[in-house]
Amino acid sequence: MSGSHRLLLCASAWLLLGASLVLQAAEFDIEEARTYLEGGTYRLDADIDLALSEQALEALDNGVPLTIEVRLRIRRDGAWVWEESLQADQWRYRIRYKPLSERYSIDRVSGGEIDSFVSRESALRALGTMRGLRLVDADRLATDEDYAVHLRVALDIDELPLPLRPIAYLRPAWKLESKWTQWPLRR
Amino acid sequence: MDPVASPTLNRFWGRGALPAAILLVTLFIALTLMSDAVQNSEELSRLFLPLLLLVLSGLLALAVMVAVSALRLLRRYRRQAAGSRLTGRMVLLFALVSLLPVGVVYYFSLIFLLRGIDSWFDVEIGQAMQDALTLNQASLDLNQRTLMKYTERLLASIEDRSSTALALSLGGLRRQAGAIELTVFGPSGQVYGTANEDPTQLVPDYPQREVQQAVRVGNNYVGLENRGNHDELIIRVLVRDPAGRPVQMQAIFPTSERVGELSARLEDAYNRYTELAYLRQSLKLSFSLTLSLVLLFGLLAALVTAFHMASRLVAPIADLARGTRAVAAGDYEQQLPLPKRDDELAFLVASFNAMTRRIAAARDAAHRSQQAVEAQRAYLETVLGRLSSGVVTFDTERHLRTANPAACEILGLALDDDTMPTPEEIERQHPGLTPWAEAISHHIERDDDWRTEMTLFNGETRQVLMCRGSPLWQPGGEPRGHVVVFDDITTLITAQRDAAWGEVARRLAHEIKNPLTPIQLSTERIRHKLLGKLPEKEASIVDRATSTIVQQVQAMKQMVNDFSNYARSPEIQTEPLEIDKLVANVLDLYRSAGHGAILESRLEAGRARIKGDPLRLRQVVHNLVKNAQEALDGRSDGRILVTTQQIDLEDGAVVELAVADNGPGIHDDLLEDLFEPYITTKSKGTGLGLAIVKKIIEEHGGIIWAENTKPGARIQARLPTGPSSSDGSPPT
Repeated sequence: MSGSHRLLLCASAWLLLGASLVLQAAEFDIEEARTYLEGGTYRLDADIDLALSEQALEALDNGVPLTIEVRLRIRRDGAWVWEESLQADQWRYRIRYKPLSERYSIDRVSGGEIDSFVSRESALRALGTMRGLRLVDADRLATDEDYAVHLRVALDIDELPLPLRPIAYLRPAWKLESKWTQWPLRR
Repeated sequence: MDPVASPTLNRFWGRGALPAAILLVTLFIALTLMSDAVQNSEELSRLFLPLLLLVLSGLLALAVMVAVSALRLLRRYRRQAAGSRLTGRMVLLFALVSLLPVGVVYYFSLIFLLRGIDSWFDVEIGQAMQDALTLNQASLDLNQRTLMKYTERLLASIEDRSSTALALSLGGLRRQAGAIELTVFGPSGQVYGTANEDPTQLVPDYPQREVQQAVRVGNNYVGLENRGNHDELIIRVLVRDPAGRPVQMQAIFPTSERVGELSARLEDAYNRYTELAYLRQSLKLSFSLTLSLVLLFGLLAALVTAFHMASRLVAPIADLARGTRAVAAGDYEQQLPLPKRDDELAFLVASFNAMTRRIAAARDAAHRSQQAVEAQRAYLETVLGRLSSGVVTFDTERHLRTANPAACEILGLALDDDTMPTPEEIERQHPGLTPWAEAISHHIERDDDWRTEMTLFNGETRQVLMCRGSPLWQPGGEPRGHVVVFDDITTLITAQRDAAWGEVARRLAHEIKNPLTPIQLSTERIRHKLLGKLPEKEASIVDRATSTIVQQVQAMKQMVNDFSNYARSPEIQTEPLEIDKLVANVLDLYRSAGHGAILESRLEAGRARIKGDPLRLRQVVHNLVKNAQEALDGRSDGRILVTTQQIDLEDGAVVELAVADNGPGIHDDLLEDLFEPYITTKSKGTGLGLAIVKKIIEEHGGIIWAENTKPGARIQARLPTGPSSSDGSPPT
């Protein structure tokens, strides 16, 4: 085999591997986020497409609870990298399957009411539809500055059952996360 | 002495072993942590990925170390470096010894692990769990359907749809039904009325939109739900009006505490079971991965250790191999570094060092002995070379091994270094050496010393050799050959004979010459006194007698003078002279005396000159001519031819003087001893003429010989030439 053929073969193999990774990797996508002022507090509505991978769906249907972590930061527009965020929050939601009732339940890890849904889709849709999340009190914002909301959502692998974690760390199908998205804080 | 370097040992401890040991320990710790992370440690599980990367990097480093070691070994093997084969074999052995059990353990561990994990999830247990869940669901389902019918009846029982009426009736109905909440929705989902056991709960627990839509199209809903912080199990029922009115009623019933508790436990157990069943693949993979990494670590660690151990073990052996090779190549100065461990290898190395020391000492001793032998040999060769005696040796195969220059000179042999002729071959090539070769052939087979005298005839020369032979023996008594020592004693014999004759002559001169004069004087006195007084007859007798006496006395005096001349010690007065002139002068005397008729000369030496005593050389010519005349005595046709000529020989030019006659020649018996004193066939003469001639010629460094020419004889003498007149020297 000549050197060029070998190079071509090698490149093809890498391309195939890359393509398979891209196809396997389901992505979370923050479709829209809106802020509004209500009673002196800024609140957030967000629509997130939580497209779970087949592996994650299979795990969910087999009783493995999945933890979705939503991270939020409020930063001054044009802030330096090292500048501290005005506000940094994270919310963690857990979705799990209830075999007896054959429903999917969602609850906040930090505590709160449990919502249950008859189908997985409705549960994920409900999880991705966030309404009225409390952001920051209006008086903490400087009047002459513009701010932006940075939002990111990801599957928390560290909350997976222990035996699943090594695989989840290694396989791209378990790397479910959105990019950091930036939304203006509307006043 | 330069100790052989031990690169393997130094290299390993110097720059390889410590990092490798640190790497191995680090890898072991990382693998232990990773194993904990996979099994049960929540904290370590977050470090799984870094640990995995660390382990993989470490394993890669180990693999690179192994590959580098293997490549280095391969290169050394191809170079056939000392110890490389043994190292390779030991590495292979170590690897096999360590890898086989590790591989077997890995195989069975994996099998046990995978089967063990599978065995946790027994099919029957799984089915039992499923059946329990189904049973629970069926049980609850039956109850739920009853509750659904009951709710339908409750809705049918409501006739008045006003808010107040609904509020009143719903409260009663809720209490009657034992429900937690009872709500009536309008066609658009609006709440017509609701009643809750908690009076503060004014907002009903809305069903999901999908449920409402399903009920709206005619599919009544009943289902278990978890609610609240404590995962409380409730039964939600949503039915439409069986009478067809556009209303829906939702009733939320509690489950019994016991049923709820049991159901929750069952659900938890089932969930846990299905989760574990699902996770077993991951579990297997994780365990397999960890086990495989451990195996890989074991393999690589074993290989690294194998290389290390093999190098350490083989280093002294490689040193020994290198040392042995060096010794085989003649380098006896090898001293190997002693291993630190006091084991058999150290003993071997120490023995090797002792051996090389002894070999070096033995070599030095041998060298000294060889030098001594060489010196002795050179000494012997010098002695033999300067020895006037000829020395030759023959080996047991009768081949000539050595011959000193004197031997070659005496025998006239020209031997190459490579030729090793036998006596017979020498005899064939040099017929003149036949007596010598025969004597050697005769004695060489015998094992005793011998001594013999022989005479060699080589053309016109005669050599008398005194030979002594002796067999050569080796130190062990084995025959080694034969040595023959011989001397050319021709000159010695001649000198002895000359000395003897000289003594005879001197005595004769002394003992005979002294009384001759008184005899002569007395005889002459008798003659003088008596001759005139005696009668004629007696006077005649006296006259004859006295004359005879005086004549004989005179002859005796002449003879005594000749002897005296012969015995006289050589005191020649040499000067350069031309032989032709000298010979011509002598012949002129003969011609003037009337003998010119028989005397012929052919003087062709030209101006060649010799260095000699003219008086004595004249005597030579005179004696030779006189000898020829005497040989021709009584012959009328006698002729004497005197010739001279210059001859160029290998060792220089000579002048040859020859006197030939056509007389009767020389008797063969006399030919050998012709020049000996008192050898003559003539009736008169002392027999000293030719002896004197020979003596004078030899005193001048020349040679003389006689030969029969049939008819007649010829005597030839050769004298070495001196500087020629052409050199500018003044002529004589």
